[in-house]
Amino acid sequence: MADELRLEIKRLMIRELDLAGLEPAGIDDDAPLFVDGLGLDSLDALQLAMAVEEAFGVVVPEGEEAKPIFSSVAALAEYVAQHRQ
Amino acid sequence: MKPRIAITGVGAVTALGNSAEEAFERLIAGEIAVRQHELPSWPELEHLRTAACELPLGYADLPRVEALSMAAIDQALRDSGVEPQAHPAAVRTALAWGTTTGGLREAEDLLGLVTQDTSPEQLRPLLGFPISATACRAGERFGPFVRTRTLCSACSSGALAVVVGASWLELGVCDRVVVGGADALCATTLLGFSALGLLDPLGGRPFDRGRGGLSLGEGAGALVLETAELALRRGARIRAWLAGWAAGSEAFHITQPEPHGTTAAGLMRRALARGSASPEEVGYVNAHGTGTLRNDAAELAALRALFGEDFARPRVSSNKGQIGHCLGAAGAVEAVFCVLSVERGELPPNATPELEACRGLIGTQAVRSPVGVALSNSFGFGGMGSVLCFSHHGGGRAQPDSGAASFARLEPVSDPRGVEGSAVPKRVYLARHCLLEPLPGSDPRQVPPRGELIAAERSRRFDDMSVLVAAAVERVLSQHGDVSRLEATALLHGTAFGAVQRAAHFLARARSAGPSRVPPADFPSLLPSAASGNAAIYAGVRGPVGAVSDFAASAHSAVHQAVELVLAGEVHQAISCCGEPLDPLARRAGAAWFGLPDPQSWAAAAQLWSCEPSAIWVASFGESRGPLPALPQGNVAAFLGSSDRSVALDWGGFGLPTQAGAARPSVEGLGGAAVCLAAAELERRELAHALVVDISKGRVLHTLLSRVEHAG
Repeated sequence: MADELRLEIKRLMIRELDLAGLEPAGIDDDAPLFVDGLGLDSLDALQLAMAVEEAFGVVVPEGEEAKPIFSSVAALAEYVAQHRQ
Repeated sequence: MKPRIAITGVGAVTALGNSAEEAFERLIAGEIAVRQHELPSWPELEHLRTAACELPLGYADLPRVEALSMAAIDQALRDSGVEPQAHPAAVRTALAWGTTTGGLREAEDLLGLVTQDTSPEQLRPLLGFPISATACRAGERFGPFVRTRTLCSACSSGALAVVVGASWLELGVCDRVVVGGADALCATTLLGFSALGLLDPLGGRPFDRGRGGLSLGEGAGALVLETAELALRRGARIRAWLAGWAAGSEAFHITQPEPHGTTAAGLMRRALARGSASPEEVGYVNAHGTGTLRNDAAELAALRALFGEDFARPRVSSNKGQIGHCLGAAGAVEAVFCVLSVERGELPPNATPELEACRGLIGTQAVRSPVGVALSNSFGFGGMGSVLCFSHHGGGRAQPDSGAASFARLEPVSDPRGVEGSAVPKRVYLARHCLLEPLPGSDPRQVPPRGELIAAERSRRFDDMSVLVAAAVERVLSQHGDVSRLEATALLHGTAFGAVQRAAHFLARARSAGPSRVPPADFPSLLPSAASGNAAIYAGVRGPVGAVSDFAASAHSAVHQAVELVLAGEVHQAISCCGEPLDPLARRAGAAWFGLPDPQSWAAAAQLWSCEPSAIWVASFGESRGPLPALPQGNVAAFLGSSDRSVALDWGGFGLPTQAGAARPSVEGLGGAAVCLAAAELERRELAHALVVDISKGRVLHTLLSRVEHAG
């Protein structure tokens, strides 16, 4: 179940953030998403927050509170699993 | 400091009043025009405070941005003592105008509803949409102008127009220039800035400790600039001098500023240096000051870098807390306020309750203080910034030398081949060019995946236009361009529209899914300046960057802008570029209403212009309404870039050659491609001279390229 969710999230990221050429297998579950690792920026964070909200019905807080949630695919998946209806 | 450019007139339409004088008085009084308004089409956005203008009387039938602009320009011309429709032919007058959204406001309601079945008649509201529509109308009302150009560098567009106009005076292509910018409030920018989290629902409070974003505003600002010689000769009242200016790009991020303000500080230094002024002489800075966390922090960092230990002395304020962020108008309206501040020694307040701890920041009370030198800052999305430096008129050093020696008027060469201002004693060379077209066998109607043209991982979020422009720019730079001089490299993108199809998609999504569901990252690419901004970030270009627009001749106007920058010594090299991404809506509206060609293939073109000698040089360039000057002898051909088909092409009437070397249409619809085709034939020695021509709205933009051995 957790694996499926992580996969779904990776697919969402590739699609929404236009990570052309990346496959889900190429995204590490625990690697940092921002700055290091995938090197996403704040504009990506906004885009991803909106996409996650739409796909999973989960509200992602803004600003500093969002940082731990977006620290990795695993962290994001856990947040979604906990908060989705 | 020998002031060379006089500001003889100002005009403004803002949320604080429809005249520059009234708005300035209310600004000084601390009045705040940012408030909630009814938005019948978008009730979900009504809680967002904006600053809205009261439309001046007599302009109700125009698209709002044009109405605001005409009123401001009329005001500025009258203020300079010139009857708006009657400037003498002996005074060559030009117009440079900035905007980010153009006529989008009127087009918006339509854009969200356009489908495959929408008829051309129904697309009529897009008529006000081309970015250059306002400049066109201004030309009809207040012209004729010897040069007309529209600039878009996001939030600094209005200031970039001042920079361009000033450089025309320096180059001697005109004696007087009307400069400024305008933007009308529209749902697209409200939706976009909101999606990016950049709006403060409480109202923008620049430099406030508790600031949380900006508030949008609207308006128009216009200034009349003249050579010192002209102003003094006719006894004009001079409000202030334009002592210096600088434009450049951070090449950092499409929405975020450089945190330490390094480029911004550099622009301020250059603007001062041009006017032979030093930071110690600056008494006032009219800041960009949007009220976002990042901008204000970065700008304060830039000011600290510029002033060093002197940081607490110069007074600093931003007008955006009172009139909102007027986008394309901001740089111009705030320039008007800065001029009045210098003229009167009255410095506007920061209308915010709790300022950052920074002694120079003015509080909620305006300050009376004589100012010798002031700076006006504007920084836009993509890091495109312009800084203007104004100095007090009565400074005691106002007398320029007699005659033309006081400023950089170029002496015409003995061969009077060029039209006004095209004489080029210092040569500009075409160093490299690039024409990108579909590979044989591929589908010409489909722009390839970006990874086939550029580095995919560095171009996420690029729309098709950005991909094409970045690809063409990368190729000309890598072919030859001096990559060690990227800080002195300009990038000008000739384009008639913003991303029309994308804007339609953005609005349709807002309608169907609601304002909170529009993709934030899509908004920056809706601005006409997006492609040049993205390409500059991609290639690391840090000189002046922006979109240049002149309707059907947009690509050619980018060529002229690039050549002018090199000629004026502003940059070491400049890139002009254009792209055809086959935006379906732009093509349909363009073909139906604007007489633009209907291209069937994607393409992109770029040219690199430089002062370093190479085989091809610019023998002359300019704009005219009538017959072009006689062409040189020898093997000459004319190349037609693009033409506005609503006007019958009177080839002979323009004096273009009809014998061997008749006009050849270039890649359909891509004006800039003609330069590449011409250059290729020159390089193959099939030609000695090539005249490139683009026609738009009864004006001909022309550039004569010659092989160096055939120079006069």
